[in-house]
Order: sequence, then C-alpha cells, then structure tokens
Amino acid sequence: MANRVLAGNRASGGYGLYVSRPGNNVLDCANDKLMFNTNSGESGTSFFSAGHFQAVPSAGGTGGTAPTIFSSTVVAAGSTASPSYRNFASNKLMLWGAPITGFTVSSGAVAAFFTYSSIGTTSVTLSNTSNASITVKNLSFNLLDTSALF
Amino acid sequence: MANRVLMGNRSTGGYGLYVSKSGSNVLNCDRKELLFDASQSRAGEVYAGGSLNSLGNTTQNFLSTGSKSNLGYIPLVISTEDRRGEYDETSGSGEEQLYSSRIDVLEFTSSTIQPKSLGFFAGQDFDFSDDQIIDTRLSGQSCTNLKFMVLKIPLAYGYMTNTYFT
Repeated sequence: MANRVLAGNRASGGYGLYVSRPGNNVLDCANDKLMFNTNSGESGTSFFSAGHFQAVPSAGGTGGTAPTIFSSTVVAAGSTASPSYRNFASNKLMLWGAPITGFTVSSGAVAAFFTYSSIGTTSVTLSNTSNASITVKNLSFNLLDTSALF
Repeated sequence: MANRVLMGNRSTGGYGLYVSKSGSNVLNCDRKELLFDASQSRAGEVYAGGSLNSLGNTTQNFLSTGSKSNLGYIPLVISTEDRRGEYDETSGSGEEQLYSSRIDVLEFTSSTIQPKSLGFFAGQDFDFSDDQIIDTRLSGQSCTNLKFMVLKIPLAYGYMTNTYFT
C-alpha cells in the first residue's frame, strides 16, 4: 500500500501537508500525482496549483450557521437585481448563473442573455436583457486572483 | 461537536486524509458530506485561470503565467462571460433562421481556450466539410468579461481513462 499522506518535509516541495492520489507514494511521486499540496510559489515544471476550487456561500457559513450555497433571483425583463453572497473572497469572484426557466428572444432581437457586473464583496448586479422575466440560480466561486491570467 | 478531520483509516475509503463539512462526523458521514476525500482520484485543484475584459476570435494560452507545464490532457474548464443566454437570428431575406440555445461556447485544448459559435446558417451553400458547425464567434456574440478556472480534471474524449485519473 502506498504512503498517501505526508505532514512534514517532502524531498520535492519542502515542509507542508501533501496527499497523493490512490496508488501513488506521496514521498516521491510526481506533482501531477498529488491531489493536495500546501506548497506555494512554484513555477514551470514544479507548479502544482493556484488553489482549491471552492464555492462561496450566498448566506450563512459563519459560527454555527450552515452555509447556503446558492440563491435564486427573479429579474424582470430589461431590469437588474442584486443577489448577495458572503464576503469570503472579497471581489475575487466568478459568478455562475443558470436560468431556471427558459426565456425566448423577442421578434427582431438577435440575442437575449443575463449578465453579472459591478462585482462587490457582498453583492453583484444581475442584468436581464431579454424580453421576459427570468429566475436565475446564482452560484459564486472563489476566483483566487483577479489578474488577467494566473 | 462533530469530528471534522481524520488522518487515518476511514471505514469507507480506507487510509487517508478526510475533512467533513460542518456538523458531519468525518468517521462515518456520507461521502457527499466530505470537503476533502483522499480516496478520490481527482479533486478540485485550480491549475490556472483568468479575468479577461474580452477575448476575440483567437486562442488564449492559459499556461503562460509561471510558465506552467502542460497537463498532458484537455482539462475541465469552468467559465462565465457576459452573454449567458440564447441567440436567434433571421437572415436578411428571411429564408433562413439560426437558433442557438447558448452563446457562451468555448473550445479548449490542453493549453488554450478560444471563443466559438455553435451552429451556422444552413443555406444551399452550406458546406458540411468546411467545419461550419463550430466556427468563430458570429457578430453579436463577442466574448466579453470572461472569467475562467482550469481544473486538474481531465474532461475530453480519450483522456477520461485510468491513465489520467490514477
């Protein structure tokens, strides 16, 4: 059975917490065979990850209150709304929404869509450019970085 | 307070590192209640990402920052952009109509992303051999305010095998 978890000094990476994928020896496997690595600042062939993919709760998630992961927002045709979320990632957020009910483009229009803008630490502007009211299920993810590329 | 962290032998999963969600006992909770589960082959590590004001009909290399190595497979990419919705256009003569249920289509390789349009007017001159089904973004479908994250999870034909998951 392979060593899977290392809390200590890894030959490649130094001190930290490491977890390898099943069947791989955490002590000396290639970086790609690790599923968790606390090391940071790597580059080139040593690069492991930019962070962990994580959802930002729309509510709760503090103290003894369980997090609520998504919210649903009704947006009237041609209007805006302001769904909110917890300040867990400042404005480093990727807002992902899905229309719960489909909406149809109007005659003569070429596109109908909804979009997020003015991303703040606790809320965002959700705009509906279609000719019908829609209900959008909002999910927020920690984008980790706001650089053009990271 | 529930046990939240286990470094050891879990009854379901075996030896490894496990972290449960708040209120769930890491020793015996359902796997869906685990935040981290070392018994799984792949987890949600973000390898690269970005926030681009716009991306034209060109490829964007997502490995350039830090000169990251190619993962060796086409990864799962989660993305959002302004145009999340559908598209409907009728040709000038009214004889053809193009409808697409979503605009935010991107094409991925192991190192790049590129905006694409899904579908094309199927007139009498349509050339099935000329790759017109998935083509460059049509006017009115430009990709703006693109945010994306590249996950270390293979998601493409030929890559979803033991070779890439173990």
